[in-house]
Amino acid sequence: MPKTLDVAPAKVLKEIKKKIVTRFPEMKGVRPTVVKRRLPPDADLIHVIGKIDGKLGKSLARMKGTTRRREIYCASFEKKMKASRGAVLRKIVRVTFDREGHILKLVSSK
Amino acid sequence: MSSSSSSGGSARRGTRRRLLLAVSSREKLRRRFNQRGLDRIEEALEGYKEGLARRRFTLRVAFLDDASSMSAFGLKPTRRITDVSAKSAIDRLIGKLAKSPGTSISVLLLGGGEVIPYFRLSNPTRDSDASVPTDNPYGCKPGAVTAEKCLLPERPVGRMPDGNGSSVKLLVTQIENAAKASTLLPGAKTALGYTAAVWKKASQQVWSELGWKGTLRVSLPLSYVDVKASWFKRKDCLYFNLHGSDREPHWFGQKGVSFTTALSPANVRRFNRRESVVLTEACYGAIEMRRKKETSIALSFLSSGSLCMVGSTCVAYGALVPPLSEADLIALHFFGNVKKGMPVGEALLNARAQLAASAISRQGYLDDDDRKTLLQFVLFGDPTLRIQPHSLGSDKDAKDA
Repeated sequence: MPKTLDVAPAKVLKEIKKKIVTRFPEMKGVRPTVVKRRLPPDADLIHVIGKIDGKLGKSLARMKGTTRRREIYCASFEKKMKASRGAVLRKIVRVTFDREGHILKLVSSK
Repeated sequence: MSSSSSSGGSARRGTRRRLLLAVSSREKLRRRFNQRGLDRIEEALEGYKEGLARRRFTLRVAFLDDASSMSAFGLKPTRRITDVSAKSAIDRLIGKLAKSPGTSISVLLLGGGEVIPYFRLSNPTRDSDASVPTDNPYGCKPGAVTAEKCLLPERPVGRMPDGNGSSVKLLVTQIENAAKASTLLPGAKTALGYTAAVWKKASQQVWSELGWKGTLRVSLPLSYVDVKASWFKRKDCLYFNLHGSDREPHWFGQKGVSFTTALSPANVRRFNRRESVVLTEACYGAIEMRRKKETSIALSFLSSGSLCMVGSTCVAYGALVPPLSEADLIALHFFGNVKKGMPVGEALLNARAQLAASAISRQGYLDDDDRKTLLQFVLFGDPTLRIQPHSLGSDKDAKDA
């Protein structure tokens, strides 16, 4: 079982794991950490962006009211990998998905 | 590299008085380098004042723990320098210096994290980093010391690490190079790009959007034994999208599940010879505490002539393939802003804002990875330096590359 901090639908999580292992075979058998996040709209940040770059701020200000509170999940797969000359690197793959199992973002550690 | 006579960002437009506030701890520098080393630093700072004056910047130096230095600003010294006390002292200094309208102030931290500490803010992601070392709060408004309030600093901040060794040479070299930069004209017109094979597509997008010509180097198959002096010759911008580690001095390439050493500190010290701007997306690419130039690629760049370096203090993230995200967007926007002639400190500020704007436009929110990325990238070097805008990406570059 994955280390789930807030429950993602089991069927969705199974599908996500399958997709990740297909893309990253080295992650087979890795238990992901799954976190549920309720993300607030970022109105304050839009204000700060506007102070740094007026143009950007203006274009984002038009989005005010369209940014909304969202519920998303992030599953994090982590594994130590061996490199040349005996070095060991930590590789992390993070996948952000919604309740329906749509992958919103896929990133890996550098 | 050259100076900026008119700043590139809209926030700075119309300013009349431009200050670089350099801060440090006299006591910590003396303990690390003895009185003789401290004297060398102060001597270099005198030359730096002249160099900055040629670019119409005023250098103000404040040793936060020194009574005579702080009394020049009408302030009391800070007895014990911590992240919070250093920020509080810097905020008070800025309050004194910014009294006349139209003053723009950039901050330069003299010394590594053991001289002026990094803030260690809570890690927005639940990954293996206990906290995120960052200089963001030093560029934020007074009282802002939490991760949530320090995502987007509004003041440029740079740092000159001291190398944690017995020699004062690294710090003095950086100060002298920054002082000389005001009179140096760029002799190079091309960029070096070096990526792990797994991120080739993402790196290629960064490369092509920046209009850079020439070859993007890829590891694997390339490794540290293939690195040549010609890679670095006459290059203004050096872009790296390789793996890094908190336990290893090298950066690594990856193809499939195979990893190899792609770049070593020795490669950099041997081949890097000019006043370049460096950005690395590598995890721990800007790690400098408890490291010396022999065990840090970042310090090797600074000791061998690079004028500034942007990198991450902890685990960084990026896309495997386009659309670009996180560290890739920092790289794209930072170099894009540098190409427009923006000073490097401002280029990083704006790159963060552009990353945030891009994430909000695309997703409607900033997620945990975006937040960590906004905190983790630091700038080593003088934040007021800039490359002449016309010097990059021309047709002639393709022939040189």
